[in-house]
Amino acid sequence: MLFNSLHFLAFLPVVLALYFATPNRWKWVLLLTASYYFYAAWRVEYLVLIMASTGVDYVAGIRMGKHESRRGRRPWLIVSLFTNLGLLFSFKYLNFASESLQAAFDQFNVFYGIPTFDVLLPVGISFYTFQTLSYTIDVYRGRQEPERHLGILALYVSFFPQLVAGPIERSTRLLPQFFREHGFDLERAKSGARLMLWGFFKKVVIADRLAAYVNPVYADPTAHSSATLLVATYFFAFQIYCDFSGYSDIAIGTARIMGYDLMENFRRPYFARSIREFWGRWHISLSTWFRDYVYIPLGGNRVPRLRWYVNLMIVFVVSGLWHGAAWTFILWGALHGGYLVFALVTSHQRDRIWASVKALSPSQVLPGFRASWLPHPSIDAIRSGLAVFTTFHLVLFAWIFFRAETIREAWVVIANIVRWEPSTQALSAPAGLWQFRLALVAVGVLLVAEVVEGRWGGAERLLRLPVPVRWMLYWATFFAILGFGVVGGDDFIYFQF
Amino acid sequence: MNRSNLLGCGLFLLMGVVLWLGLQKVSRAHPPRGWDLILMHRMDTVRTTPESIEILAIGNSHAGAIEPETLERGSLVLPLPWNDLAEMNYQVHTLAPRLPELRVVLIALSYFTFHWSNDLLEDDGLLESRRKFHAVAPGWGTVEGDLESLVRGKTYWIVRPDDWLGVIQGIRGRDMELDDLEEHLEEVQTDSFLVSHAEDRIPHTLDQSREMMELDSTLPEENYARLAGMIEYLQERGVCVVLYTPPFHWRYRELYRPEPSLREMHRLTRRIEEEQGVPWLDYSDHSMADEARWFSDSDHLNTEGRNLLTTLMMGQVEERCPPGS
Repeated sequence: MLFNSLHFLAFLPVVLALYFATPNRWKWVLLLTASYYFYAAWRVEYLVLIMASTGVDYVAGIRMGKHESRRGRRPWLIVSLFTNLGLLFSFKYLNFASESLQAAFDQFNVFYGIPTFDVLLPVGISFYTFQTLSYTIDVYRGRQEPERHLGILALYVSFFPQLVAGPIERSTRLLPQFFREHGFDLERAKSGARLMLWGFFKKVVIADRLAAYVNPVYADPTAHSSATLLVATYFFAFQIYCDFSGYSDIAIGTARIMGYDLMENFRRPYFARSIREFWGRWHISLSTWFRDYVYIPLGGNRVPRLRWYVNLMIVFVVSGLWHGAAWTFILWGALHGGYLVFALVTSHQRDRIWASVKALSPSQVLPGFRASWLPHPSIDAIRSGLAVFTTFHLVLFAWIFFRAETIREAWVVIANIVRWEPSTQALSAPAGLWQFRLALVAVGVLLVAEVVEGRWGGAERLLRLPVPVRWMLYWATFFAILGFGVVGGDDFIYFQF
Repeated sequence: MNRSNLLGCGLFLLMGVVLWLGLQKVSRAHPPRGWDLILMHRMDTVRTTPESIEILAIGNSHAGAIEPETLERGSLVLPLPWNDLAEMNYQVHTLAPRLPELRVVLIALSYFTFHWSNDLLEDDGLLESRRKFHAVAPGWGTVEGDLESLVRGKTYWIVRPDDWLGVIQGIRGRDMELDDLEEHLEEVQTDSFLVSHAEDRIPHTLDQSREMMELDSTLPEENYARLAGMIEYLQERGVCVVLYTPPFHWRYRELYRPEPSLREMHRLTRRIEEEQGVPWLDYSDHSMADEARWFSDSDHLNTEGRNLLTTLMMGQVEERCPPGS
């Protein structure tokens, strides 16, 4: 079921009404039924995969609980890893692996007919697999008690607000919440509804409108001018952000109304001043998952320098692969890993350059420039601004590989932009002038909202506004969603992962 | 929740309702498409002067072959593009009880009417007329349980397909699309244009119809039952029903001739004629269909063509359904 569908708009009020009318001890039954229905609305037969993961991890968790030592628990951890990653590999990576192997054999003129399987990728499999794995790994590490209530564990794996596109929750955070009492709380409901409203705005008004421009351009990059390709790439950066963070906001808001706290998944990522900071602000639930379950077990930064860099590259390449079974995603991940390693290698040199720039007076940097034009600490502000600009454009460059169908197409986009050939094609051509204008306004609204949030705080600032102004803002957002939202728009991009 | 919370919620909702009504009013003043305006004006008569309507003409765009200005009796002509028989059935059940003086219902049948159902294909555009009817018509029923179209229809003036461009243009004094539409309807076409139009249009229509048949092979029988049920309902209300097929350009007919669906359409319509005593006025190969000057495209008449057909047809209709009958 899509959040941006009439089905969900009918489903949610019914679930909420039943949820608050149900006694606390039976709430898990309702939520589990609702969650399975939510998933079954897409494909009922694929529910079996979620149930299989749940069943195996339930047994593995209980069995691990019977052993004091990690050594005794290890076989059950391996069973869990093998089952969950096996399912993920079979449905998501098998064909990619077969095709890559076939291509490698072809290079040496070796004929080998590797079979491929025509199966549909189960929606959200990467998300719920990682969520359930975090449970078994935490039980193995002794950070989480084995869950003896099968229904609650099943609910943890399939909790509908975050089932198909996160945030990827940890068992230590979410499981205890299913045992608490949750009555109706008006303030929580208002806060959740506000977040949902903003999430819907980001998805249907911004992301889907930008998609109307980006999709035709990236479908045939050779047919578009350099300027159009550049604009489409900028638009895609905002499209994917609004698409995914919009989903997260709706998920967090829905859970909040019912009394559950899901983790923050995005924190104004395009205002990050470094790639490292970007990953602390983008898809936080995934980046912390990789940090806790891959990076740290590899040794993190407590290893020789070269090994540290290798660890970073491994994490980012695997993160790329998590996003999709294609070389474009692997390259996207490797680019981010490369950025981070480069930043670490050059960190001292860059600091030294800035320190010497700071020691200079402005007129030494730019002859004729008067010191009085800038307040003294402005060099830090300039550095900060430049860092945001550079980080954003490094991320933007990597998005080209993420969005393109093939690496070859990504190079076509890059080459066409770099070549910068003048064209008679109107910049608005891919979507039409009105759609183009609306897209620009939508991005403008997003940027203003993010600047306001960064400088004065988001919800806190909003709550300080006079009631009529606040209400007008809510209704304006609501009517903007109805009036300017794309009805029957695209699926959420991250569903495919 | 205490009383002040409830009051706050009430005021908040009231604010939303007032805003909704205000926006809807502005939106209706500048419809997304020119055709919406014509449709709105026609449907307004159902609310304002329902007793003035004696004749109702429904169907897909081919129902527009009748010119309301030429009819001497009060009429409501509703040509809704790609309208299928489920939609016509809903429209009849919505409008007939609201029109106390309704005496005649003219139902336009196209060559593909029995082999067409908008619900079968995942083509959002096919449901546009259904939503538009919900937008302008009274009533809160659904077309065979299609709740989504009802919701999208009733919110049509807020969730506009043009993203409010029409309102911006309208405020600037440019309701362009209405001018375009009127110009198009007045156009007189050359024979070669009509030939190429038919050759362009028919393969697409046939492909869609065949796809629908692949998805539901019993579609003609289902549509027959819908039409028969609709006629029975009208006859029980004392309404005289006439089926008609407007003139189609010779090339349009020529391309359709080998189609088994055309023979099936003839068979089913003859069956209705016999079983329910309803006349079928088939003008599709009338002599006027051989002259390009009556057409705006290969299956739609221009104003002159509509005037001529209406005059020709009304003689037959008056004979079968005399005023006061």
